[in-house]
Amino acid sequence: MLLRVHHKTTYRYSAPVTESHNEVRLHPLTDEDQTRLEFQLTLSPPARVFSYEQPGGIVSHFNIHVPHTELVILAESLVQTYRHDPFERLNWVEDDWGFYAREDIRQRYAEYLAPTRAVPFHPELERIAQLTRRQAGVSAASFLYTLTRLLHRLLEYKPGATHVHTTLEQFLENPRGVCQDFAHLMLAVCRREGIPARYVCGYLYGGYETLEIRGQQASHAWIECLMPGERWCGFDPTNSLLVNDYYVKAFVGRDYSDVTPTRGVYRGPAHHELTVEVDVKDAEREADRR
Amino acid sequence: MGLCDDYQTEGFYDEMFAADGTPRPHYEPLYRTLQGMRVEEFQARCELAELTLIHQGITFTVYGDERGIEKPFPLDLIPRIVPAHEWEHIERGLTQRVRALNLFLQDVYHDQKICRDGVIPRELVVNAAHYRREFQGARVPHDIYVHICGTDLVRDRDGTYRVLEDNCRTPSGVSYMLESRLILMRVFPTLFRQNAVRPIDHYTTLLLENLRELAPPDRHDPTVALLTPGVYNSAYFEHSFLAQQMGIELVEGRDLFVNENMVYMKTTRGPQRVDVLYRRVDDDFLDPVTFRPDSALGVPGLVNAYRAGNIGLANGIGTGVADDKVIYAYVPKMIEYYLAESPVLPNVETYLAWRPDDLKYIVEHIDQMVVKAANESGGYGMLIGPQASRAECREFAEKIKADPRNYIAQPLVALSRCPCFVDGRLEGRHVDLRPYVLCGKEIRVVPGGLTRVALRRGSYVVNSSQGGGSKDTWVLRNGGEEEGASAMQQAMPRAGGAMSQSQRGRASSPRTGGAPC
Repeated sequence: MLLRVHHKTTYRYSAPVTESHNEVRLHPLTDEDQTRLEFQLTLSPPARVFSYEQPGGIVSHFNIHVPHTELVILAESLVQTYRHDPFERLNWVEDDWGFYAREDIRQRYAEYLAPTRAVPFHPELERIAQLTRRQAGVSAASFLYTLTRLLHRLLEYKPGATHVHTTLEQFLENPRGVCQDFAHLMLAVCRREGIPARYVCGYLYGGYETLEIRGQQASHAWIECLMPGERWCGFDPTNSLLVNDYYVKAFVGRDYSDVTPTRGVYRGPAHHELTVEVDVKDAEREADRR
Repeated sequence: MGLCDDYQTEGFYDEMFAADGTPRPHYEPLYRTLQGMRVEEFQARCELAELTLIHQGITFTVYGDERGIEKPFPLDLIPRIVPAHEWEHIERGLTQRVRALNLFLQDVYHDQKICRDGVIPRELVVNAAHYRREFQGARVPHDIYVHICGTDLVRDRDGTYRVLEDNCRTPSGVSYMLESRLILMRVFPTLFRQNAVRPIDHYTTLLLENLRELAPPDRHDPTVALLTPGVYNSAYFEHSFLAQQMGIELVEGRDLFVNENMVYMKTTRGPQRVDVLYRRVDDDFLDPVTFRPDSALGVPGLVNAYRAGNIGLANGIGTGVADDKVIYAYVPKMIEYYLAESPVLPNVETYLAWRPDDLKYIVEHIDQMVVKAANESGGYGMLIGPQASRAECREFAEKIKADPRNYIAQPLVALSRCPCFVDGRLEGRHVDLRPYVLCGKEIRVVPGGLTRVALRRGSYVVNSSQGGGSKDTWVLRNGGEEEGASAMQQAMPRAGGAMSQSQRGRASSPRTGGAPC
């Protein structure tokens, strides 16, 4: 699909901010699943933008030294996505877990197998994995698909129930949250099972069907798992979906802290108000309409 | 009766005395002086040294001690003497080691060949506590990450020098090395006439030279500053001392700001661009945009400015991965891999709890081993098995089993001893040695180092935070270890040292602009 993404972040301060330093991870990736055709970052107040590549994507950063009470970061991009059929090439019947025991795989993807602060190894994970194994077939893909659906069923999607610093332990005690919490939990289960898994931050096109799709109003999060054959495949526990060409990836990392879309520090009042607007459109359909 | 009579080596390797009680050749002039000195006279010289230390405010800080955290640094007046041939060996070994460590850091932040070739498991590197993923792929000036390295050496029972650990982040203690020398020259001037001691006071000149090399290529008269976390840091004395000696600014994070990838210092005459920072702030606190957002010590935007090549940092970012005690165990392999040489200075034999066989061995022999957390320093987070209770051993074994990646164990090295003046007589105390390696276009090791002493009888812990003290370390000139060394060497304390004393201890030095070289 050809998707046009419009992502506007606005910070409003109660008094002027005199100095502000920001890093943003908003450039959609170019990889085997998608190509970034256009990208534009517009800032208000205007600032000179610097960019470089990091493992996981492109980082842009800028600073503002003029007093301001509002900072607007507008990222607009046009992306071609390819994963039309996410089931393609997935093995559902054969036991292919031997792949994950390979020492070369364990070393090459070591950072996606280790626990992190946001993805700790909790005893509860083993129970979730057992439950999944009971319902799943013998292949890794079947396990992951079953796990995606299981988490969707076990967890309650409730915006506002958690915040960016909610820990996995807290979420397990009170399993209500948003895509970030779903993704961290699924990462933890996968890594404990020895499946390299990474956090993906990006966008989801809601389609024109009447389906209820979560994560359209803001940037979305899901995970990618390394499949036998050494390719990454996306799973979205928040929507109980395999990731297809409706998804646009912006950044990948070990957990949320690697991929934070906008982060920064400023000198000014202690409180600020943040609003995020995300809009993903089918660019071909838009063109047809015109 | 001489000061050295009745001295016992008690089966340890003694720096001053051979096993039969006779002084080693390089200690003979000192031995004769001590034997000709009355205890009262030695005592008086000690008091003079102590007063000097107090007056100059040479202190260190012990965190968590409620009796006032700042303490004068205990200096024992019997020098530790290293003969020329031993120093040559140490120098060769350290040069080799730091070269390998820099090649390792360059490699792990780029292609990770050493992991792909199976020499070091990649998981140990990328999951190390101080590995900085954010910094993967960044170019650094001259491909050098570690500009100042403080490597801790110990000698075992047969006198072999071994590396105990590397300090590739912000090694401290060099000010004590320099100050100890000044004090000894003042209290025992005659000793320097009898021994051919190589000078160390050019350390700060070399350091400044190295720092200036890190400036962006278009900056011909670079501005260098020392970034300190501030007065509450345990090494603040050293920060102000070094800035003072080099004639550079001593700054805190709030004195600097970044605009469009350039770093500036706020001065009374407006912003002044800074080209190089000798930063004594850890990675975590260096830049709240990139690392810990709650840090108020750092400079927002500094890491990106460094990445863009607009400022030099010493040491570079992410060097802590080489300090990880698990990675330490692989340094000999690194030397073979990158340099195709065999290590000049061996490691201490190390067991990695991360390996299942080693873990089993450690747990079974814990009462005979020294166990250390992979990323702690200053003598914290460790267990000395032979000196610990059974309960302590059991408790530690559980910690290791719960998190094997984070523990290593070593047999207790019977650290060499050196005579110390204790309660009116000489007694042996365990010592280590931290020389300072400066790595620029060439690698230089100032002939000397910080000899740390475990002042408590029988103790093996030399860290100043754990009751350690220091000694002046004398490296002798070639030929200087023969009897009756020439009297012309280093007759008097240097003017540079004397001059600086009136200015010592200030919170910040005046804004001098460019640094003299």
